[in-house]
Amino acid sequence: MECVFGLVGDGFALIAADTSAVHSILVHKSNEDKVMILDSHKLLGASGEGGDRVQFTEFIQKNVHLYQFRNGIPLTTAAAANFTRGELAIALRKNPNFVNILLAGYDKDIGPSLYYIDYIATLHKIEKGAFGYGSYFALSMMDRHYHSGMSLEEAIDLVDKCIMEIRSRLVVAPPNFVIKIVDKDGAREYAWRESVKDAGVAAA
Amino acid sequence: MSRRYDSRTTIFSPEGRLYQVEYAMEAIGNAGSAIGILATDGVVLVGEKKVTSKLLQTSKSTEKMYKIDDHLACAVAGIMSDANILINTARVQAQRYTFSYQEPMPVEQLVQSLCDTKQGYTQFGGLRPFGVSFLFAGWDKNFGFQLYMSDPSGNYGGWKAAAIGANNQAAQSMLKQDYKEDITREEAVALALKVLSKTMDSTSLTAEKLELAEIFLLPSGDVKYQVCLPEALSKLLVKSGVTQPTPESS
Repeated sequence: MECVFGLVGDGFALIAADTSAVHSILVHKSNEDKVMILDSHKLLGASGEGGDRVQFTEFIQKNVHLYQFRNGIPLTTAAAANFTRGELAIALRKNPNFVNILLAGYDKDIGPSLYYIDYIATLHKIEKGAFGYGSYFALSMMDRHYHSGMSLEEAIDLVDKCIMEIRSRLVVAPPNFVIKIVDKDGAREYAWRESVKDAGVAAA
Repeated sequence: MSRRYDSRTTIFSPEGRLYQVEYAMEAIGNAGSAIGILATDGVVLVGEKKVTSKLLQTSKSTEKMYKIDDHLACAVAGIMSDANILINTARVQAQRYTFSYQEPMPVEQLVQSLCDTKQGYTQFGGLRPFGVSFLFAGWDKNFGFQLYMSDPSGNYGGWKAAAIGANNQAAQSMLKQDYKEDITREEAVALALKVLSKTMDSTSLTAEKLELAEIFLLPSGDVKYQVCLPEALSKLLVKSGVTQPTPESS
C-alpha cells in the first residue's frame, strides 16, 4: 500500500511519498519519512520491504558521501542512479533487495532529472513516475495534467490532485504524505500533507 | 652498510629510506625519457625510443605511449614488462568505474587508484616494486586537461610540464625555463621536441627514435588521443628546427 511518485518541473524535481509504516493490519506510525536526502542536491524516495528499504538506501547514501569525501567532487545524478542500479543488479541473483526507488537530482550543467529504479534493477530516466498501488491513480492523473516545464505551483497542485485520488480511491489509502523538492538551491523538505495527525500523549 | 636493508621491500633503513623503491627509480633513470606538457587546448606527450630497428612494426605497436581509456593516455619510462601489467590494471580500473557509474573515470581518480596499487608493493607482500614511472595525460569534465606524474613509490603529482626517464632532471629544468602558462598545443609540441633533442644522448634526432602523442578535444566535444605518424613527425622535427631538412635526392 506504499506509494512513491515524482516528477520533473521547470528547474526542479520533486518526490512525494506516503508516510505510513505498516505491518500486516497494524499501522505502526504515520509519519515515517521515506524520502531520503541523499546529498546536497539529490533525493531518494524509496518504498519496499521494511528492513531492506532503510538498509539499502542508507548504504547508497553512505557510498555517495564516501565518494565525495574521497574525491572532492559530488557524483552526478546519473552516476548515482547507475551506481544504485548496479548495486541492486549485483545483489539480485544472490541476496536481492526488495526496494523500489525514485532518484531525483539537480546538476548544474544539466538541470533537474528523475530516475526510476525498480527492485530488479531496471533503470529509466523519466519525467514522471510512480510506484505502489497508488501509482495506478498517480500515473493517470499525471498523464492527464503533466506537461514539461511546469512551475512549482502547478506541480504542487498536480501532486495534491494525485494525493486526493489516492486518498479517495485506494481501499487502504495511506493518510499522510511528505513532499520534497530539489533545485539549484539544494534538496529539502517542501511540505507534509496530513489528514491524520499522530495524537500527542493525553495529559494525565 | 645499507646491504642489510636492501633485500626486503617491506622494511625501512635506519635513515628512514626504502632502498628497493630507490633502486627501482635508478632503473628508470637508465630508461628512455618521456616528456609531458600541459597546454591550454590539450596535453602533449613525447617519448624517446630505445629500441629502434627498421624491422619494428611501428604502426601496430607503440613503445612509450599507451591509451588507457578514450579520454586518458600515458607515457612510460622504465621496465616495459612491469609497465604492461600496470597499464592493464589501469585499463581495468577505468572500465570498472564506467561499469558502475556509466561515466568516464575522472583522471586524478584513476591515477590515485593506480598509485594505490603501486604503494601496496612497497609495504606488504614481499614483492619488489614496479620499475616504472608514468606520465598520465587526460581530460575530464571536472578539471579539463590534466597531466600527472607517478613513480614506483606510489607518489603522484599534477604537473604543468614534467619529464621522466634518462636525464629527467636536465629536461625538467629546461622545461621550467621555457614553459609559459598559456602555451598552445602546437607550441608545446615544439617545446617538447626541443627539450628532448637536447637531453637525448643520440647525436641526430629522427622520427624513428621518437613517439609523439596528443590529447585534445574534437569540435564534437569528444576527447581524442592521437599518435603522430612518422612522416608527420619528421615534418614537425624540421619545423621546430630540431633537424635539418633532408636534401632532395635525385
